[in-house]
Amino acid sequence: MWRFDWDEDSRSVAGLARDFGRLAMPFEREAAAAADVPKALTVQAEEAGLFDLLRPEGAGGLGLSLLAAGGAVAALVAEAPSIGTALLWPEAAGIFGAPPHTAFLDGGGGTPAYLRPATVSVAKGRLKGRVAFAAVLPEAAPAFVVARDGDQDALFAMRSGIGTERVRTMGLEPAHLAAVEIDGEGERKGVFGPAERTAILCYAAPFFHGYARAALSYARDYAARRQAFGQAIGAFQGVAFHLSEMAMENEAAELLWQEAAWAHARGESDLSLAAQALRSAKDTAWKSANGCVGILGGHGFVDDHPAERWLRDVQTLSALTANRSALAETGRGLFGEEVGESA
Amino acid sequence: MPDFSTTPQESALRAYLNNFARTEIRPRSLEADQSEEVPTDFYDVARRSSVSLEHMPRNPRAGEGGPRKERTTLRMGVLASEELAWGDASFLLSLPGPGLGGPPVSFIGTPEQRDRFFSIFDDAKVPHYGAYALTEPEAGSDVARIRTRCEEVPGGFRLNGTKVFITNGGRADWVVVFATLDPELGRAGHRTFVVERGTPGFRVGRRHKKLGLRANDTSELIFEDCVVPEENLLGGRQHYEARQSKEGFKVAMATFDSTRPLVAAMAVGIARAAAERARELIQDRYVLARALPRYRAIQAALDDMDTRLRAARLLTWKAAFLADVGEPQSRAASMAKAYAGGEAVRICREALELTAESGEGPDPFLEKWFRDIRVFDIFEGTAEVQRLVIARRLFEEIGVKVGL
Repeated sequence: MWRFDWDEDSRSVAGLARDFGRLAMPFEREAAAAADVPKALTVQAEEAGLFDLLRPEGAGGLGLSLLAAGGAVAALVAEAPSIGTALLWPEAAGIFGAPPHTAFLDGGGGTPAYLRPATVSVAKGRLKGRVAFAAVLPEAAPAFVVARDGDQDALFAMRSGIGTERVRTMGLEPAHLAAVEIDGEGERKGVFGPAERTAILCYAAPFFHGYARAALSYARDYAARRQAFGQAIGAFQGVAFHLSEMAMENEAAELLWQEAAWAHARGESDLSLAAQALRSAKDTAWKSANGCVGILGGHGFVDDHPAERWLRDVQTLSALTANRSALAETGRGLFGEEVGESA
Repeated sequence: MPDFSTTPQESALRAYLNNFARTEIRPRSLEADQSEEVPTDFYDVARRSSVSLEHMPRNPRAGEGGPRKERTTLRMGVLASEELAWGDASFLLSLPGPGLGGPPVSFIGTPEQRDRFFSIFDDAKVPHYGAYALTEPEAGSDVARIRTRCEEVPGGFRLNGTKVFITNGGRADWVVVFATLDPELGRAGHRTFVVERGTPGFRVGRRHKKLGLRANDTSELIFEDCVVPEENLLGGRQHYEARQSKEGFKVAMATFDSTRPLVAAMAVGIARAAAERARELIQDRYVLARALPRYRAIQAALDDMDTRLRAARLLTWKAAFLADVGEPQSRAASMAKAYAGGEAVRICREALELTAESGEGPDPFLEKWFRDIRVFDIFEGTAEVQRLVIARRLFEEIGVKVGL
């Protein structure tokens, strides 16, 4: 029978992530200005085991399920959105057993393929192509690359042949966002099918949920202390209802990704469910970040507060994942892919 | 660890009720809407099929007061609500049983009162009803403003006032009535009574004409020097004296905490019916005759409906779970009700919009659900009241009381 409580282990890992987030939060502005996470924080995250959340135990990780790991990701990002995302977003390859700090580069085709053709392909064991926008790692790091291999996507491990060029973005500065040229040999790790893509979508959703939580908390706290017309602005229904709306949407989005991750962990991976969950998480994060800027008013527009940075971050992060229409089409198909492709 | 599964027992209940709704409720639904009555043969069919409000929680807090023990009552209730409302919510609301009157009798009724008022439902051959009368013409969301007066008289209390929008009020065997000793006392003056049909001074006023849920009886109740015996003061005099005061108001609110997830589940049931119907109609009429962009636009709209429907169900399930394990859940209950109510209204409207063909009338089921669903964003606390509750709880989390 369904239930919504967490076990002790999951709570403890999420608590660890949350505590690290609280430690990191004061460095968010500095990290954005330096376009990097302070080295000391990266070391601390390493020591806390945060890069091993998802990695299978056989590969030296904690082997947490996507659901438990997602809870930890959301807890960290809710406390230190930019740094948390910059540190953990590039670690997605850990799901497939990659060592820490292996970039994940998705040059595979979308589903359905007509919305997103593959940008990296394989010929005679050599991968060639380009990933226009991805989170990479500061040093020349190994990568797991999704590429089109014949009539299916497959996952390859690459140690060389990866050229990165950092790109300017509107936000998420501490992450190393780059255009990536790929031309080299890779070791085929296996098919990258719907189950693997589902895992990636399930991994992405809690980052957006973390941003949404951060924005809601910040806006709520501000509304409780900011006075106007003789009372806290939170006492005005125009503000209070806005916060309620954000809280409701956040809760709904959280449950959607949890359900998708839960299904995946049970071996009932459902790409449609995950696509719906990610789309909902992205929408909610944007609404919350945007709402936070609005509730702070002029203070939300200037960089004295993190609200404007979170709004830029969310939009940047959003560009790193499949766009809304692709997710809608990946979502529960009305009449099945076959009709959709051929109609 | 969160778990989103249903047990075989729950799945079986779901399938059984869905089949009942499909074969026994839907075929009667449109005619009942037109005649504004659930056909009487339905009650026999429901009884023979063992479909009753026993599938719904009469007493969501049964067993409270002892060691905390996890229950499954409300979770089963929301499953049943969704399936039966998928058939027709008017039929669900017209099923015999204590209805919204059940929770307050369970919460604070004395053992004698619980026996007396619930025992009538043991006789399944004749439909019996309870009802819940809180709303008045000048007091809805603001419960503290109720003006129905109760005045002590020898042997009991005299009630004067009018209640409106009372589900099954016209046929209830007894009604839980909220009244005040003195409006100046605010919530502290509230008292809760069970008024039985036939009590002198109690009569049913007009039956409301409504936008939707037309087959279900919603009536006005009038109390004119209606003397209610002392033993019908819910919980007995000592209940109010011992706790000094706001118990009457608390009873009203506690009822909502347990019933809002059920109402949310009904909204999910109706919205699901509308989304499914829209898909069927679109598949028949549109898909192969339309260009791809049109098809994609429809597919995206339906996917969006499906996502919101799923989210509404999950919020409802969470509120029911928290109630079952005895965790505070008024925020979750309000979220479920507000989200499900609001999104279900939008889904039913979009279903109608997506299937509209120029020159053709709307599909009769979609047209009906479009009317039926509107009240789910109103009754059991309006959308605005739910947002007030959520906002209060948000600020309470950081220990701040804002003047909402």
